Amino acid sequence: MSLQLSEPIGVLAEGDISFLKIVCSDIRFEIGEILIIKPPTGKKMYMFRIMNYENILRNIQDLSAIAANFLKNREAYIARVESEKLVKVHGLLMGYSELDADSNKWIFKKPRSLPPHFSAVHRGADCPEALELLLEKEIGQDLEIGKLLIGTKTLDLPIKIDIESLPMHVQVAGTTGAGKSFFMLTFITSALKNNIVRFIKQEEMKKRVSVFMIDVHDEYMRGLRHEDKRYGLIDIADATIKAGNEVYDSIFADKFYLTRDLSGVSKEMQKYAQPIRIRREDLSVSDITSVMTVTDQMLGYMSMKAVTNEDWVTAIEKESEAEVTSFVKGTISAVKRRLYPITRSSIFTENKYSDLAEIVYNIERGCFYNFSTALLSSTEQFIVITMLARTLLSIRQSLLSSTKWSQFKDQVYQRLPKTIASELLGDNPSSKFSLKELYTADKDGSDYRMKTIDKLPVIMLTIEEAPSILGSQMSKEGNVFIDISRQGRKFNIGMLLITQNISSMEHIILANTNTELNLMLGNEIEIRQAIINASNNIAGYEHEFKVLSRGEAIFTNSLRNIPLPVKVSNVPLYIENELPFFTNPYQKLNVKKAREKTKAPIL
Amino acid sequence: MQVFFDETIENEFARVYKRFKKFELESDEAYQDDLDYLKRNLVVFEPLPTKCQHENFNVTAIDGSGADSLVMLNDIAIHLLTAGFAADKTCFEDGTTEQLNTRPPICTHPEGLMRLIILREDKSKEVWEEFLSFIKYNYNEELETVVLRVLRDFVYHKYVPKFPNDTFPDIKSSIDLHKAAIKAGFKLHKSDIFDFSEWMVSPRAAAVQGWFEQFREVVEYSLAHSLLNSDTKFKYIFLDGSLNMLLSPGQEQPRLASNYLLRDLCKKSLNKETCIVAVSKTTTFPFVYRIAQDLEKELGGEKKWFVRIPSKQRKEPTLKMLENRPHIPPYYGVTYLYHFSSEVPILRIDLDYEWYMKNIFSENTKIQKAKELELFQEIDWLSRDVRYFGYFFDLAFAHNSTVVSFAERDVVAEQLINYFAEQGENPKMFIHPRRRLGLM
Ligand SMILES: Nc1ncnc2c1ncn2[C@@H]1O[C@H](COP(=O)(O)OP(=O)(O)OP(=O)(O)O)[C@@H](O)[C@H]1O
Ligand SMILES: [Mg+2]
Repeated sequence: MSLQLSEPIGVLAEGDISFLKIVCSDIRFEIGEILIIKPPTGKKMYMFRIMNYENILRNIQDLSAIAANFLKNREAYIARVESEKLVKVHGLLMGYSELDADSNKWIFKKPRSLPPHFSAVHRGADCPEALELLLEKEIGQDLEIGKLLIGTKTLDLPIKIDIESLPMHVQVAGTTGAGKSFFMLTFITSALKNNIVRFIKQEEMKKRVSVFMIDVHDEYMRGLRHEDKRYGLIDIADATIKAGNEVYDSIFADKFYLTRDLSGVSKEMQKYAQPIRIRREDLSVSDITSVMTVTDQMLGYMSMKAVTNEDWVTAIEKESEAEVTSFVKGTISAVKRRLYPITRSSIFTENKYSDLAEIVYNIERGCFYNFSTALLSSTEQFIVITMLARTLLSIRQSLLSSTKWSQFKDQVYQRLPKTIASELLGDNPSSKFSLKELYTADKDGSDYRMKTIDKLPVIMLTIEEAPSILGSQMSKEGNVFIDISRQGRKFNIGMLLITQNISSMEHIILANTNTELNLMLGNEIEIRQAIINASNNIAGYEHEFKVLSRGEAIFTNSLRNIPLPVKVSNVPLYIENELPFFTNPYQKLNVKKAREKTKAPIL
Repeated sequence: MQVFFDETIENEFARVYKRFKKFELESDEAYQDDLDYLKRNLVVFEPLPTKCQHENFNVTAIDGSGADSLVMLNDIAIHLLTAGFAADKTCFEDGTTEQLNTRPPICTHPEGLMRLIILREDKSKEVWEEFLSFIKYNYNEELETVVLRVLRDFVYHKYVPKFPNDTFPDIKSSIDLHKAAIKAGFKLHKSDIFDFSEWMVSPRAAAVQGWFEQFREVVEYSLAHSLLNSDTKFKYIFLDGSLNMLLSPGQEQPRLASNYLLRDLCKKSLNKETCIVAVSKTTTFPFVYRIAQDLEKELGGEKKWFVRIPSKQRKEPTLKMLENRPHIPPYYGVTYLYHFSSEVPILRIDLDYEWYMKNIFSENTKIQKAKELELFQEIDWLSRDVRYFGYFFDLAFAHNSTVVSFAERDVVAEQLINYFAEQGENPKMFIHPRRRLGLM
């Protein structure tokens, strides 16, 4: 593929990995600009990212020594004052791209060689098409999050997160007002769009992303504002309904907006809203202990109760201290106090009804949920998320260790409380949410063969203000998020962690993320932490972090060679722009609508 | 080696110091005489102001470099040779210079050229042949032609004073040359002067390292030659080094091929009214540090001065300290010492003898002194760029454009290996320089 480069701006005089000296007419550069360097011969095209620059005279190492020399030696002058000007740009030799003859694509490689002297230097911003070709393999393919940022310019070059990276977790950081919420909604919009595309093109489930989103400020339904425009999930859902039931059902749970209760939900959202109700029985002791610290005595007591009572929470609630003698005095009332957030919550019910199976089922078929936690206490919120995450992890763990449905059932019963297990396995006659249809491939005698995990959608849990759940203060004892952070990859479960404060995140979790989007950061400590934690080497980016403005970020991913600066989509405009797609996806994708399937979708 | 800073090493220090002092004392009397001579003959001068009204001229400088054994293939070494130049036009009125847009055809890039050579230690005949074709390719003339022309010139200078009324014979072949040489009393080293390969090889040349140096000189002189032949007329061409030539005792003709190229270059420069200035740091010159010290004591450190070293050939007294160094001044050269300031080491400046005779020398010492003064004022001005204060800036620029850094050397080596690999060779047969250094 031939490259259309712009006029060169100069000639390379000298350079290495971290600086270039370019002989050029007086030119101002921008921090973050990308230069394309074309050697006089050969097929490599180098790229260099500017982090700083200075105009210098050739052959000067130490300007202050020169100044001192001038002072001392009045007879000195400077030869070639005009032509000796050169620009020294500091930054990073990102690498080079080479045209792969077979695929006719440019393959980006780490800089194992240096651009030779007298290479022509071009500005990337002057030839975005060329840059796009050169970076083709670096900018990702699946979920668009924004555009490549070059200095202060945004190139029309979409930057995308790949679905295969999601189970290795994404961390998003930014100070208040940096654009975290804009990013979050962008990500969701792109994920939903992706799911529709894959659905319509009838691609494999593994290319879909089931997002369970936690909306702490209850801001994403109505959406975010840019000037006089405001768009959110409700607009996307409304548009998708117009695309037809099967499209809507493929990406949204029937009622995907989970709230504490319906009283505060506005009319137009009512049709998507569902008050979330969880059976106390669905809880395990570890859900409690990973959210709050308990003594050994308390743990022992809870475990004992859980063995003998399915609804152990209610059993404890009803227990009177005097009846129990085997525990230190005060243990029971301490446990009761710990369980207050549950026993007093309207979410955790004593009766037999629970939304958990439905949620799990819908997630496993590729659906999106938005869980508004604005009215929940933080403990309530943590327990719901922990329980859901644990349940998802348990069933996927069961799947991984079984090849037959009968084995799978045994596994699930071992791992989950009985009632929820029987619902998910279809053993409960009233259950409409058996995983059998989703998890099994074909019949094998009287049994069924299981699908492998890579045939299921990627599950993404988004956690905003992550340090409050996953902070360094968190209890690590049996914490399901630590398991997910370490093993999510195995089970195709990823976390999208959003934080204002990288430095207060639990470091085990940070160490396990492979994608980072660092927006404007609050201070030097955060910048340093972002640099340490990044999956690409971004040492030297301090300068750039300081000049980021709202919505701008450095994007790093361990599967890619280079960190990329991005301008996150201005999400209200992005959604507005994509609404026609959600309304009319078949037409936009140029795909003929298949005849209605005979089997009615499960609602 | 492990160094223990204890008494043993102190003893060693003491011993060498004693020896050193002994040399100094032994030579002290001779030194004092020489110092007196230099004092009597040196010329202190005032520098030109930074900005002044002075006729502008062009100046260039050449420097060479390279990397020997860039890569090795078994016992075959590939060497990298580079030469760079810098060319400027003075702007005395503005106190600066302007870079010239010259690019001689020999250049492979705007600031010089690069060559790769392949040498095999055990095949001296092949190396010699490669050397000959290398000269032809770069200098643009057959070595034979150059040698004949240079020798003819030597003979001519002997012949004409002897037979002022004869016309000098037309020399077309080595036989013609021989006849004229015999008549003029010029002793040719060899009867068959074109059987170069035996005698035109430096004693050191048999080793790869020696060959490398000889190829390197060819590259430098070729670049100078190319600049001299360009459309730009240069008043000065600076070379890094001396005008030293290798002469066997009692001989008047140089030995090495590169010596002939250098002579030829000087000769052509003379015709073009260009002055070749060969600049070397004075580690080759005995006692220079002492001379500087003693003279600074007397004249003050900031005084600029120059002094011409007397030459035996010109029937001048020989400095005692140079008695065992017959190559200073060089056989066809004139040597000056040039003191810029106390902060800069004294430089040795070699000029071509014929150029000197034509442009500087005068029976009238006043006239000669005035000419010397103008020369040194000009070259002094050329050594006042603030970055290289006290050194000729074009030489510094040329040096910077030609030195091959380790990083660059690695890049070239890597590309070379890649190229060979693309041609189907196994890249493993190369020994990369970094590997040789134990870094890979
Ligand atoms: N990608 C973007 N494009 C354009 N404007 C943006 C972008 N991102 C953020 N902004 C601007 O910055 C403002 C704050 O963004 P946002 O609400 O996403 O920040 P935040 O990081 O979530 O802040 P907080 O910590 O307060 O929740 C937005 O209202 C918008 O004006
Ligand atoms: Mg926000």
